[in-house]
Amino acid sequence: MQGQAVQCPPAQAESSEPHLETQEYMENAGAFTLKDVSVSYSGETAVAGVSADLKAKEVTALIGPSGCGKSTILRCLNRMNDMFPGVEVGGNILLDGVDIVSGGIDPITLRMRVGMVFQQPSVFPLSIYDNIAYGPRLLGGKSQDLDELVEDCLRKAAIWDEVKDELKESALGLSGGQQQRLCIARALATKPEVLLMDEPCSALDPLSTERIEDTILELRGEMTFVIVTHNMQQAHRVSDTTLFMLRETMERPAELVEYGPTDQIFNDPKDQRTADYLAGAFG
Amino acid sequence: MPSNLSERAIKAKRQDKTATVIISVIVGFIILLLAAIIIYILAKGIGKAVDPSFLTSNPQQFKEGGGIGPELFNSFYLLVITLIISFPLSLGAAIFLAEYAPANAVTSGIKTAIEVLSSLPSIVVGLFAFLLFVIQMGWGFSIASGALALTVFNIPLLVRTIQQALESVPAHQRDAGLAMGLTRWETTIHIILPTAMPAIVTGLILSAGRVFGEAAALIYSAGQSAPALDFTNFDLSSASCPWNIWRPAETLAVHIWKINSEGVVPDLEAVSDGTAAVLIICVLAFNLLARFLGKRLGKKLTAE
Repeated sequence: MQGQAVQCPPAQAESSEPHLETQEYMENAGAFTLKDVSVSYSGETAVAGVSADLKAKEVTALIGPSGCGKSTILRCLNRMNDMFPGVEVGGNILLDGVDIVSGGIDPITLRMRVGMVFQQPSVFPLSIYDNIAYGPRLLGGKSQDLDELVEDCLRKAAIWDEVKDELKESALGLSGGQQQRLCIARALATKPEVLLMDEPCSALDPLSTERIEDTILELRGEMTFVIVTHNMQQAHRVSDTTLFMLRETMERPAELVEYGPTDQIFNDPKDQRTADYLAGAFG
Repeated sequence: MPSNLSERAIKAKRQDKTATVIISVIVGFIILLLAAIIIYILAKGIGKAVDPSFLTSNPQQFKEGGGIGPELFNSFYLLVITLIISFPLSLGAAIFLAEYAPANAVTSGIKTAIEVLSSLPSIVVGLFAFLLFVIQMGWGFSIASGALALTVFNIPLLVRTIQQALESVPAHQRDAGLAMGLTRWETTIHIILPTAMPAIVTGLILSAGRVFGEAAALIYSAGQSAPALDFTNFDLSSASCPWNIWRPAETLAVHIWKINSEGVVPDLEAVSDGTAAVLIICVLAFNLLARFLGKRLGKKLTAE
């Protein structure tokens, strides 16, 4: 992987590229541990008993049929569920050992460390440059550092060559695929340890999808990815670990059927339900 | 089967045609009616409305040849003061209702109160302002009293349009802001509000048009007299100082009502027609401006 910053200890970092090599890029930062996580909406339990390790600097895919709670689990990881009234999260979710469910970290700080990209490209009605610079500016970034940061983020998201001459144009003029890559670049700008992706390609054409997958594969090793996808082939292509979730009946909450290395889940699933789902999805 | 099918198709087609004709006739009638009213008012008053001396001179009490200079100024000045008071209040209320308010009894109570406020007859608002501001507070017939009466009248309309504008911003914009680690306030101010701005500006100007033509709420609050104004007078306590908000200020709409109900000038019909034409031109201008600005802001946001 390219990850120029990854291996550098913070002390050395200052000389070469000061604003990118902070300790946020420390090795092994950005690992999630889920212990018996459950989510309920107004008293009704939707997901229960999810325990898994999401390894740092790797790509973890959450797969399963619609309504299996994969997006719900994803949104627990940066506490986006907080916005819905009546949502309660049980169990423990540890980010590098700190429990984020019981409030070991406030949501604002957490979301700076755990970025998110949504299904719909959600660019802000600002220029391309300002979309990226927005977060860092709030953190007090200097403008000359910002230029570098913007370029760096756009390069990482593989969109720099397409937009470098129109940075001052409104981001809303970009195509859907470009907007989504801009959203990834924007998420990178606050230097998160983890990037959550909620079906990032489901609104995109195959070519744009491929470019986003390439971006993930390139940044893997620099940060942790957790991606929810309906697309089995995509999960197979990009992820190191796969979690298969299922809600068998509406009477019972959704559960984690099994998880493990992606190759093992796809080629040699331990659970018959996983095998059936994958066969159905492929067939 | 085939004959049956075509019979049904013919019937559906006939129904479709009938409905189209009926709707077209109704729409045509409404447009005709509207156009007739506007053309009638303009045709009768345009002679006066384009006469500079009519637009700038003072009204006459007994002889002909009076103008509407102070009324014209009062209408705009009162509008500006009203918007200065009502826009921030409405914006705050709308942001609260759209972004912060929990779905509970208090919130729905507030929403109902705003609905009720918007259906209050304007004469009731005017008399309320008369009792509270003119009498109780002792402000007399004044721009301050009038502006507050118009604020009561304007807030429900503005709150609703701003709230709708904010709510029409897609949810994923909100999510994106929060997911970046912005607080709810930062998300609202820097992302939701700019996105909703074209609709907010359009709503603001349309409400300005409504406020501009309001008469009943002002008769007993801003008063029915228009002291001659001296634009070189900056003594804010003087009745002839245009910027003094404690002076009575008859507006165009009130002027029309006044001269038609108790005017004695010989040319009262011509003055009334001319005033009506000026009023309607201003309101039309507000509407065109609203469209123009809304479109332009929208374009600026979405890039060309």
